[in-house]
Amino acid sequence: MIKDRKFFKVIFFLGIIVILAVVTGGVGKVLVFLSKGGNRADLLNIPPELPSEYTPKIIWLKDDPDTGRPMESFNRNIIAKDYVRALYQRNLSLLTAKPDGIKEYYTLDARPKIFAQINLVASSETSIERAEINHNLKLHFYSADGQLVSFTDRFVESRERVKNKEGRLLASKVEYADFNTLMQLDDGYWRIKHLVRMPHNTIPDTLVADSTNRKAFFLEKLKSIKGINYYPRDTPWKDFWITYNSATTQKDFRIIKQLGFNTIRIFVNFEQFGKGNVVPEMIQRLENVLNTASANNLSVIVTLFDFNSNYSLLNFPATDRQLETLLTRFKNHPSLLAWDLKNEADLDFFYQNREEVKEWLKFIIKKAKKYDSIHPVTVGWAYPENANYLADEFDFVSFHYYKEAAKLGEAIDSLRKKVNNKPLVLSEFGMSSYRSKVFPYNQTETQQAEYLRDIQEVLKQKGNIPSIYWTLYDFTSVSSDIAGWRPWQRNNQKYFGIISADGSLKKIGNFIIHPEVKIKKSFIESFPHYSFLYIIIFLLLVAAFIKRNIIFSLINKIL
Amino acid sequence: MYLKNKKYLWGLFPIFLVGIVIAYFLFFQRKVIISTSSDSQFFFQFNLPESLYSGSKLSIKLPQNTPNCQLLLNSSWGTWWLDLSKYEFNIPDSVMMQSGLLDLSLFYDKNLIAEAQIFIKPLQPFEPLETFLGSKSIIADGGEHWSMITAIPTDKFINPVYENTPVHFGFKRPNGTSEDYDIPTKHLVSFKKIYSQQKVGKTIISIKAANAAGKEKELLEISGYPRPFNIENDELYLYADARQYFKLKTGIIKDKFENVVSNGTLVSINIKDTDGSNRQLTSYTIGGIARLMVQNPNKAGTMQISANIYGDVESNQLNIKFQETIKDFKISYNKQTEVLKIGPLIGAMGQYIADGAEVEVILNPRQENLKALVIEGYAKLNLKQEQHPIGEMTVRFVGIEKRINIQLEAKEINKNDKRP
Repeated sequence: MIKDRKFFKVIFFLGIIVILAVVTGGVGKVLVFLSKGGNRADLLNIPPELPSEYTPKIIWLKDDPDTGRPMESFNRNIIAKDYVRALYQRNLSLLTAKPDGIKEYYTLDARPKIFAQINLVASSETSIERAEINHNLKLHFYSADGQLVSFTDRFVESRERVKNKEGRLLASKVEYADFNTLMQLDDGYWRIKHLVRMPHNTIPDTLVADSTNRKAFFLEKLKSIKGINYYPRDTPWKDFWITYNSATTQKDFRIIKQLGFNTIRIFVNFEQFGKGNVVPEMIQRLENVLNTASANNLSVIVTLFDFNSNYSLLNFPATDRQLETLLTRFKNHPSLLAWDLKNEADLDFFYQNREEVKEWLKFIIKKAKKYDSIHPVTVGWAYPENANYLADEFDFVSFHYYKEAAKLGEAIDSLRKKVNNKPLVLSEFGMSSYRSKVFPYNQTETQQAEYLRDIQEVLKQKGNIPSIYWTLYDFTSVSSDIAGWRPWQRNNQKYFGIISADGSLKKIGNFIIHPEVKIKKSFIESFPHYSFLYIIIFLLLVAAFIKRNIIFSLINKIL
Repeated sequence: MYLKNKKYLWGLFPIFLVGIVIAYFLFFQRKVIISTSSDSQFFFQFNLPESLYSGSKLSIKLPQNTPNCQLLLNSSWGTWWLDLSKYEFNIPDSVMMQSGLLDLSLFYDKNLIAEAQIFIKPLQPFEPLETFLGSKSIIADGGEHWSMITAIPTDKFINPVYENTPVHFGFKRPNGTSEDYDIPTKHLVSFKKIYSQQKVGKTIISIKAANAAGKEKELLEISGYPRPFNIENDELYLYADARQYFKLKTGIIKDKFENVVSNGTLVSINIKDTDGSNRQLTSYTIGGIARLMVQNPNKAGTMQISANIYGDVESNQLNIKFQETIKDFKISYNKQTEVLKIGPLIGAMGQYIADGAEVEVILNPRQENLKALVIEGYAKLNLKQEQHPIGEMTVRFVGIEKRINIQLEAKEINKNDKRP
């Protein structure tokens, strides 16, 4: 009887806590919902004309001499948007094999043709992924009443992927074609009336490749870099750009310069930069970073598309737009050294469809070389084993290394064989000095400094391979979506820095400034922190075992 | 201990078998796939015509020994993927009906083996021919304004026809002339601008492409901006009797090409009355003429009338002189019947003033207005019924005022007798 009462007491107590938690959480959510303001587009119920992630390049070529009526620039934009939106809708329907939404973007006579196409896809039990990367529109005709428009969409680059129902890739193809298009203003929307696919005529590219030998200059400069990967101490990864602080950057870059580095590697977050429509503020922030680097005489390797793991074709135009915006904007910046197109793309080989990742990489390399023919491009691979992939396309091979220093030499040798004397850059390496008080991790600052020394030794032996250390600071916080939810992984990520979170120089920092001084091992360091915890727990357990009667009676009293 | 007893080893046998199966799936099978994809590509070439008419049948034949291939079709309206399980396959009609370039790509195990392009040609123009006219009406201003007729000829599968397919446009213009044009299609459309002429009317348009005819279209040419116009009035009975009406009408309002303005053109008429007040009246034209009946004023004098269209195009100004309809009248009061009798009211031509004309009687001490209607030349007001106070009163008729002072019997002014 008494036991039952205690049992219910405990249940009741826990139950109250659970109920309180649920109620508080629920009320909190309601309050959050109520205090959120709606945006104006919601208020007016205006659907966005194009989703932000679908941004193919739209160029209007020179109009025909007699178009019937001259085109107004206002209508020109609307027509182009509705045209792209209509094709996007067609692509969505091919992907889902459902005709929803088609009637909003196609006239009555065009719909049966699209529906037939969708039915074919539905019956073939595949899904077609399709995206148009660019549109070069040449206006031929615009009716006097502004209801009909005829134009040719020239040299359209369409990419297609066929997948079966399980999502396995069956085929992919790139094709170029011209489309004769007729659109009609119908119910206030420009809808596609006719589409005729034609053999394509190439159009001269507006971007002229730089013929001077400036790339060689940058590649020569790469050989002598002594670099560091940079994130600020308090706002690493996803917090860097949204809470950007130019004063911090200035201070940090001065420290980097004082430490003797001449290059930094930074990361541009694809989503935070606004996907295809790059946010002007973010461009300004990136420019500020580059300007600050330039003021401190630092070169910058900019890593693009960080945290983008969407390799679907529908995301290709957005990546292309961001690439174009950033590369054309900054290709003449004096502090820019190279473009790293994707950080650790080989990690996505495991989590995403490998073929799709490779297709995107090939796509983006081609585009990057088109937009900026001066600066070297590469991809920083997570493992040297994968670094030979696409090596011919890159100007230099970049890889990361976090394993034992002793095995780096081997890795470099085997990589060298595969990449035919392409310059190598070790763009990330380092060691955490994480000494956990709970988990069995005990990497000391001495080991960290020794690791740097050993790696540098190997790099020197292998012919002065330039390297970029990870990273400047021990971070104060690392969010779980970077390093995983496990606390030992998350905390491990915090201690890769040269400068500790409280601002003092770690042993590795001393080594960087005075490489000639021998690294001293301290005696206390050889005792792992976590051992103290387990000794105490062990002692407590022993004590509890001895005095177990007292403890049980104490618990009884409490309950 | 256990190992010595070999029976226990048989217990491992199923595990061993499962292990082999797993190993087969894990290693051997995958290896087989990799080897086929890399080496054993076969050679194939499409043997297809360069072009076909839309709607024709196309079948793909593969050699008997070909492995399982897939076909990727790129047509005007989309992409389609087809698993070629048979060696002969018909391209579906809905694809063959779309004109334009058709791409066929043969895939074998993700690898592109063969490619072909067929241009699917559109057929002859098919009825009905789709035509668009805009604007629907233009101003006949001698070629300044224009409209456009557009034809989008399509074949029976609603594909735009060939470039340079001639489209015949026939116009019957308002001035009786006929125009004929043969304009080839260019970039899917064929269009003709129609410039205005000087005569108002309908232009009837016929469109024909090959044997396909389109609907009859009509373009309205309407008159342009009016020019200054005249207004006039009749002078039948210009007396300030506030009863009769006089007619006001405009001349035929025309534009600069002598086209009568459209029916329903709004004409605003400003009248400055004989007593100095302003009146705004409107009228609409019919056949270029706007008509309006205006009531005679109640006071003799000059009335000024002018008209305008859109507040811009002005007419001349009319000054109409109104004579007094009556010179004088008598007022009498009968003490027995307590009736105020006004009259006889004799008009300008010696006639009684028409029945129903109003005479105004103002009881001055109380500033109370009463009205009496003229019946057979006299207006009578029974003051008994009204229980009016005594005193001076003013009688007013068509601008003539007369005063009369009548002492009524004071019996009705009773302090106890209060009106409800």
